[in-house]
Amino acid sequence: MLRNSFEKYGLVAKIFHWVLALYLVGMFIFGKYLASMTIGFSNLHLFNWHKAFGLIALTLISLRLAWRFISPPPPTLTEGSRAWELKLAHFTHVALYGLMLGLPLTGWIASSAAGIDISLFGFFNVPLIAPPSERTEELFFDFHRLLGVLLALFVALHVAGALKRHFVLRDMTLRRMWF
Amino acid sequence: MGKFLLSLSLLFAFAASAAAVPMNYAFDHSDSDVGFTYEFDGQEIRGKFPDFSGELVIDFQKVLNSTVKVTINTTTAQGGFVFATGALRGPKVLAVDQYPEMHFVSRSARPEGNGAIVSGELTVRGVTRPVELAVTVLRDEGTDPSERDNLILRATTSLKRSDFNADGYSDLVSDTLNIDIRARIRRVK
Repeated sequence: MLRNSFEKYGLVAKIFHWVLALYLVGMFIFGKYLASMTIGFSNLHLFNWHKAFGLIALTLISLRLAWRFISPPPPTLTEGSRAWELKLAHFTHVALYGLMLGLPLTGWIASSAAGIDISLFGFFNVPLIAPPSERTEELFFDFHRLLGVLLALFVALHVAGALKRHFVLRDMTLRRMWF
Repeated sequence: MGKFLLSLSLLFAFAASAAAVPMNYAFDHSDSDVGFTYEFDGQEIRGKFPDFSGELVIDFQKVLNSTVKVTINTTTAQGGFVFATGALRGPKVLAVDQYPEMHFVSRSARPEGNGAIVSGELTVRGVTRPVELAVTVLRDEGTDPSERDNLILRATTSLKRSDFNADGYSDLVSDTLNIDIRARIRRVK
């Protein structure tokens, strides 16, 4: 039940999938809010929360990827799909994983380059992984924003594909990821 | 503890007849504060540079013979709250990795009011600009007016961060910094 089988996703993969789905939507809204708010004493801590939640996301995504290797997912259902659609679906999955890793990493690099300590909810300070540099900070925050937008687009594509399979092709793709 | 102002200009008035006697002083770090204030979120925030060293020569009878040379460690700068300290030391403001020190060297001093105006050059982030410090020298309450061994030096000035390319976070933090130095100085004989 925990592991993926030939027909269905196991419980671990399902939990990773849906928890991260909610998490990413939440972080996207959180990030957009941070970028738009007027910064003051009352909301300064939100930057640290975003960084801490981002690092937790990076951990979850790494564990999810590791699990994918330990317990490979069921094969893609090909019936009713054109070759280019299957290729696009595959590319979307690769992009989603790449972006899910890249987003927290670029945020971590940019925050490190800013020279401001990253505290994990006050428990300990996370090591800074880039030397202080205004150029690095700006460049990687630009990447961070770009990857955020790209991730939102690929999530939309992923959702569109899943809904098409569920409502048009009426196959098991979405159901086998559900509980 | 109350302090009395030592009138440099008054002493200066008697200088014509007296021989100039420059006195060497050392900073007592345990009772000194190189502070600055700036505005963030509508509030005045106070930061400081706890680590500095320097040489000070005061000629109470001929103020223009007085000199001061100070080196301030930027790597231990404090911004007033956690985020500000990181931002202050970071690449957009003091860039302490690249510029671990700031320097002030006096070029001239002239009596003014009860104190003196010390003109000199301040180097921050490798940028050197002329600055003028308003300096007063005080003695502790209860000490003899002739006290010269254990004194307090106060120096104030106003700087623009942008003059030194230290203008990061300019949308959040004021460009103007008010410098307020209060240093315990002890005569070195």
